[in-house]
Amino acid sequence: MTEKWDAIIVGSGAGGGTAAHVLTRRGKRVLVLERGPAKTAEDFLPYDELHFWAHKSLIPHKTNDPMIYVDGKGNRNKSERWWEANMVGGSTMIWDANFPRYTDEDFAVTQYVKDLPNSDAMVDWPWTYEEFVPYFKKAERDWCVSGDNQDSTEMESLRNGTIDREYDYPMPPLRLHSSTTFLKDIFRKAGMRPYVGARAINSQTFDSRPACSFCGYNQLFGCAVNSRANSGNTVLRKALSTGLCDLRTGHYVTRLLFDTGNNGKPGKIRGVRYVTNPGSDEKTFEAPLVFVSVQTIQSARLFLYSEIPDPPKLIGRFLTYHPKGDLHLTFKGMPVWDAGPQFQPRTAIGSLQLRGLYTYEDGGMRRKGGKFSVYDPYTCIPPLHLVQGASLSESKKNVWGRELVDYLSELRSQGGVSFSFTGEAISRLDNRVEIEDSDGVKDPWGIPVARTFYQHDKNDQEVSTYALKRVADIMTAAGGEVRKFEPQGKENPGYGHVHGALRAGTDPGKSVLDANCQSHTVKGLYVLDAAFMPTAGASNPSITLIANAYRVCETV
Amino acid sequence: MWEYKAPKDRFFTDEEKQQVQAIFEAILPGGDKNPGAKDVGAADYLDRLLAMDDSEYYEIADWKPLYRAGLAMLNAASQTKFKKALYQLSADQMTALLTDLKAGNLDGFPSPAWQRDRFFPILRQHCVEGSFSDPRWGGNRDGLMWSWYGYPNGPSKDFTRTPKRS
Repeated sequence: MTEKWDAIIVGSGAGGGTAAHVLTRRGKRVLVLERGPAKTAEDFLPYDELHFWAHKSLIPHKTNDPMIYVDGKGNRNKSERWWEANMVGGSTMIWDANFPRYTDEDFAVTQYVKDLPNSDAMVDWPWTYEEFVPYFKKAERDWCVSGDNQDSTEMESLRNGTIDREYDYPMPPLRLHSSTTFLKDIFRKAGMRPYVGARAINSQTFDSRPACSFCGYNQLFGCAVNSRANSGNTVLRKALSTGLCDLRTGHYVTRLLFDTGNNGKPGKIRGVRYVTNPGSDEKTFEAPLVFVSVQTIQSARLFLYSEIPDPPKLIGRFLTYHPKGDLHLTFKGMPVWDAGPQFQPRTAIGSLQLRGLYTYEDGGMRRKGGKFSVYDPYTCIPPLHLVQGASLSESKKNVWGRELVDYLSELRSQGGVSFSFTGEAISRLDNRVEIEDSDGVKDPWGIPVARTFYQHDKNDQEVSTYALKRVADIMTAAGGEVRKFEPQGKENPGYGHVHGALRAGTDPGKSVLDANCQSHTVKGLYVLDAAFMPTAGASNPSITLIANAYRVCETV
Repeated sequence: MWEYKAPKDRFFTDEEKQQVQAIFEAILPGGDKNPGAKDVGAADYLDRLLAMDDSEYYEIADWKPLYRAGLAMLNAASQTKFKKALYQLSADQMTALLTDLKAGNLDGFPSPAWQRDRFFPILRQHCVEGSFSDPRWGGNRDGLMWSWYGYPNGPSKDFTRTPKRS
C-alpha cells in the first residue's frame, strides 16, 4: 500500500465509515485512523448482561479515561461516556439503531421558539429537509434500513405534502411487538398515529447478513448475530473492498496539523499527529483533506487541543443534549406481551415511534416538542437493567423488599409499555466543551480529557414533562397505571444524543464550520459527526449525521 | 470470545457469608409464590465476584474493603439496635436495620451519605445481580429466578415453596 492518501479520516464510526465509502467510490485513496481495536460478532458472545453491560466492558472506563463534568454547583465529576465505544465502528457498535430522519421542524426550528426566554442562540440550519432527502435515501440503502415508509401520516417522509409513494425502505419492517396493535388503537382514539419505526436492523437476510434473531441484547450491546448495522459491516466493509481504504486500528490522532493563514486568510490542513500505544512517540501522517468524526465532544476536544484558530471563540460552544424522559406503565388485565411466533418474543427490541407531539399548540403558538420511542419494559429491557431501576410510581423508585417482589410479580403477569422521549433543546452559549489544563486530568495516552458544562434550559425540562404527561394521560385513560415518570432534570453529565459544539453556519463570525462542514479557518479540515448540528433537533441523530456525511463527501 | 473464568477462591468468611445472605434475603425476600435471594444463592454470586480481580471490572478492587468494613459496621449497628448479631436478625429486624441504613441514620458509619449513596445501593445492586445474572456467575441458581420471572423464554413458571428447606 502506498503511503500517499487523498484524505485522512479520523474515526471509523458513523461519519468516518460513510466518508470512507463515499470517497473510495469516487476513486480517492483514504486512510482511516481508529483509536480502538477491530471486533467481530463473536467478541459479543456469550450473551451476558453482567459482563457486557454491568461491567462496562465495551465503553471507556471513567477511572482512567473519563470526561469531566462540571455541575451547576461547580463540582467536578468524572463522567462515564457510556455511549462511546472505542473500537472500529465506534458507537454504531452499541446503538439501538433507531433511524428517524430529522424533518422541516428540525431544519427550521426558530419559528417554534420565538419569544421563548433564552432562545436567542437558536438558529435555522443552512439547508432544508428537501436538500437532505436524496442523502437520507442513500443512507437508508447503504445502512440497510427496515421499515414501512407508508405506515402513518406522522412519518417523517409522509408529511407536508412531500409524500413519496414511489419510495420504500430496502427491507420490510421487523416483526411487530405483541403490544403494537393494542397501542396503535389507543393512540388512534386520541388522534395520534404511532408507526413502526425505521431501524438499521435486518428484518430478513440482506446484504449477506442475517435477519435479527431477537436475542434481546440490542442497545448498549454488540450484535453477536451481525443483523444490526454498524459502520464495519456496511459502509466500511464496502470501502475496504475497493482497495483504496487503509484502515489502521490502535492509531489515536492527538492533534491536527495545519499551516496558519496570514493576512486574515484561512490556514490549510496538512495532516495529523498520532500515537499508538500509550508512551509511544508522536508521528505524522499527511494528506490534503482531513475528516474528523470521533463524536461531538471528542471532535471539539481535538479542535481545542490542536488550537484551531477560533476568532469568534465558538469552538466547544452550543453543546446540546436532547432532553429525555422515561415513562413506564402497566395494564391490569392485559397479558404479558408474548402472543406467539409471529411477534417478537420475550427478548424483544420494539419499537413504535410516536411523533404526535413533535410540535404542539400552546397559547396560540406552535411549539417544538419531540418524539417517543415506544417499547415494553418487560420484554425490551434485559433483566439486570430493568430490575435495578424497579419503580412503582413517580416517587417509589429503586424499590426493594416486599415492594420489589410486588414489582416483579406484576411484571411477569401483565403487559406494560415504556416511552422514551427525545426532545428539542435550547442551545446555550455556556453549554460547552473545554479541555483540561496541562495539570488536569489526562487519558491513558497523556492527552488532557474533555471537560463539559451543561445545564438544561427550563424549557427543555418543561417540554419533557409536558410530553410525558400528555402520553401518560392517554395511557391512563385507557386503563394504564404509571410506574415510572422521570422527565429531564437540570443537570446533564452526558448523554448519547450529543451534538453541537462545532456549529456549522454561513457566517464565520457565528460558526466554526461552514455550510459544507469545513472549518472556516483551516481549509481542507471537515467534521462529519453530529458536532456540526447548529441546533439539537428532536429525533435520534444518527441517520441525519450519516446523511450529512454523504452530502459533504460527495462534493468535496 | 469472552470467557467467564470462575475464581478458585471465595471472599467472605463464614459469618460474613451468612450476613450477606440475610441482607440479600431482606432486599429480595422469598415468598410462598416467589423465589428470593436466598433460594437462588445471590450471596454465592457475590462471594465469587469479590474473589475476582479488577481486570473483570474496575470497581471490584474498591468493593473488597468496602464489604469488609461495611459488614462489620452493620454488624455493630445490629448489636446496638437489637442486641443480636447481624446474621441472626429476623426478617423484620433486618428490614428495619436496612431501612435505617438507606436513610443514613445509623451510627458507626463514615457518614449518612456513605450509608445512603454508597453502601445501601451497592448491597441492593449486588443482590439484584446475584439473583438475575446468568447462572455462570454463581447466583440465579439453576436459572430459578429467570424461570419464575419468565426470561429469556416463557411462559413464566409459577413457584411453589417446598415445605422443608435445608
